[in-house]
Amino acid sequence: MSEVEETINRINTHKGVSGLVILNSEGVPIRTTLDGKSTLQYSALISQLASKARSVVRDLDPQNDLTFLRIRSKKHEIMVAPDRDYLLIVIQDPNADQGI
Amino acid sequence: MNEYEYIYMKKRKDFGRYCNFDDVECKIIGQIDRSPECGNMYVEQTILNLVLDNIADFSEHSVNTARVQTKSRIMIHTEGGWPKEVDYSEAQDTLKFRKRLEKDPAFVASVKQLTKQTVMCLEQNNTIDLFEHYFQLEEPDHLPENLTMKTVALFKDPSDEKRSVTKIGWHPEGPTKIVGSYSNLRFQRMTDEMPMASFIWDVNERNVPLTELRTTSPLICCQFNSKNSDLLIGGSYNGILNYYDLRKGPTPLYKSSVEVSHYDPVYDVVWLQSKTGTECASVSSDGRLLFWDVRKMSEVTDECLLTDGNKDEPKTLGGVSLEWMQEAGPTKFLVGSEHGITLACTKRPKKAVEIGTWFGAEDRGGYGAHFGPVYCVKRNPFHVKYFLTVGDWCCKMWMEELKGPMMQTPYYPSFLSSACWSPTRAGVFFVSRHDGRLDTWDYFYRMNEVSLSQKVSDYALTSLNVQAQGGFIAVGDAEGTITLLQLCDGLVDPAPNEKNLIGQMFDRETKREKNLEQIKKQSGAKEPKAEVKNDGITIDQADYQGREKAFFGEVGMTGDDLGTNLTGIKAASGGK
Repeated sequence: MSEVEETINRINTHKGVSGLVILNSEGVPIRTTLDGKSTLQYSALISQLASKARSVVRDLDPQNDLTFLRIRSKKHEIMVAPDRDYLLIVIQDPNADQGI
Repeated sequence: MNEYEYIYMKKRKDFGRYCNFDDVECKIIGQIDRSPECGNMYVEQTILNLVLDNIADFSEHSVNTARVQTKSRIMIHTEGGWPKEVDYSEAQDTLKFRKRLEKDPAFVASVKQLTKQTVMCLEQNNTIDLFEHYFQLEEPDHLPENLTMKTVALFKDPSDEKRSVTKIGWHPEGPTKIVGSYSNLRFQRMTDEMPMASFIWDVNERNVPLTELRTTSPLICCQFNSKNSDLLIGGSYNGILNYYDLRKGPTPLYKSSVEVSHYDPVYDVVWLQSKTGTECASVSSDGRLLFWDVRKMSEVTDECLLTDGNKDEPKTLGGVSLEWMQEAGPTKFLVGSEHGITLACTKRPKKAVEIGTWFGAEDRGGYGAHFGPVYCVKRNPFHVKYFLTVGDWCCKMWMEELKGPMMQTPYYPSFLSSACWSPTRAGVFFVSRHDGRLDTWDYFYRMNEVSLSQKVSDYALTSLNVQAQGGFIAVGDAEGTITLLQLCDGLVDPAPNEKNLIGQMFDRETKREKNLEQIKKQSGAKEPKAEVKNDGITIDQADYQGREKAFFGEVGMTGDDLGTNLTGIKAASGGK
């Protein structure tokens, strides 16, 4: 098993994690644990949002940079970790065990 | 200071000629030395700007964004972002591209780096609930102070000539569609070019009506059938009823025959609940309440002449509003008349429809009739014995067994046009006013004052209807605009025990009215006798004194000592 795979598996073992996508800077999904359609949606939408968020941070202060983006929603939290060349998206449902 | 002068000499004949300038050598004609004293004399002028005004400055600006016409369109999304040489639809190509990237050591490094950050967040999420709701399960107290309503949509009459919205009907299944009846009720103000059609609006599509309802005379009232939402009944200005089936198009499927129809505008129409769901009733200012079966519009199933009940020379009362409610009894009808009186009619099978009560009719022992037409009669949906009427400048609350109103709102500065009870909260009703405001009364909270008054339109409001789930109100104005308002939760969610408390309040008021009536009756019976007595009041001096003495003797005192007669007083004052 490659190193990348190992790390991905490790993340997936965390409670409530329902998906993980790794994109390149162009928004092309490289690794994913989601199905094709939602991968496409997540990669298209989140990559745009992340680049927008990054430009917001840098417009406010050119020396600053975006390091992490957390999107909390009613159903889950989307964690976006940006990098110069790659982007990691993890979707977690923090209330997974408290199911109604 | 030296005087410098230079004399020009010119002959008269050269005057007016053009000058002829030549280049010459420069020469100094004179010079002025600079004097520093002058510099010291230079004084800078202080700039004074002074504005005096003791009136505060005000200015008003208003900005309204232009109406944007929106439309839904389809869009196609394709995958993007791939390098030029990779065709994203080729699985092999993309796989190869991905494999190559994954082998890149930079990729491995950054994945590791990124995971580290993410794991922190993941663990944090799993350890504590960052977004915990603290007071989720606690029921909020009744907060009447923060009542609000907000405009969700405006539906403008697409016709150029302004018509007022005379009635609004909601689709029976949820807040999806509204039917608005457009007409001009002002006498002889209808022009020949005035468009006739009324419209059904989809709540989500504000720009164009969903369908029009074609008619030869404008509709004054139109309602959806409660069982089958494709069927509508509309009452028109010329007295004819139109029966629409939306599946068959916008033209009326049947029309009532002219001979049996009303001969005045049909002011209100209601669907009745029956097995077939095809019966309806209509009321008009011609003084008739007519019952119809839409399957056979050529004749009326029943008819009731609205009179003032005078046996010798009955006077007809024109009906302008009609209320019928299954819960209150399917045989009972309430009709608001042009004369301010509300009539209760009963329709028993195989019997003529009879008028039971004339609410507010003074010649029948009632009181408190409206000073103008009763534009709206509504039964309380929770306590059906009680109903609300709207006329002149106030709303009145009545009970079926009482002849006069039980409660009433204070007189408004403007006319009222319509009212509606909240279908979810027993003590809440809404009133539309001619000055463009919509008032909300919350009797559960207070009865002396309006709970919420909202300006809805610049024009007079003419009609009002609350959606059956209680969350939306549609309000129509005199310029043909229907405003859809969304109510805040405080006006929709019933407070605990509200229904019972409002019921108790109604009962209390009924009792009070009944007691007052009884007192009035008793005093009415006594009064004439008392007057007879008063005519010849004479006090038998000896009898009076004897009684007084007897009383004081009983208490153990002597009357004279206490100054109860004149001699006693004199003796007492003399003693002092």
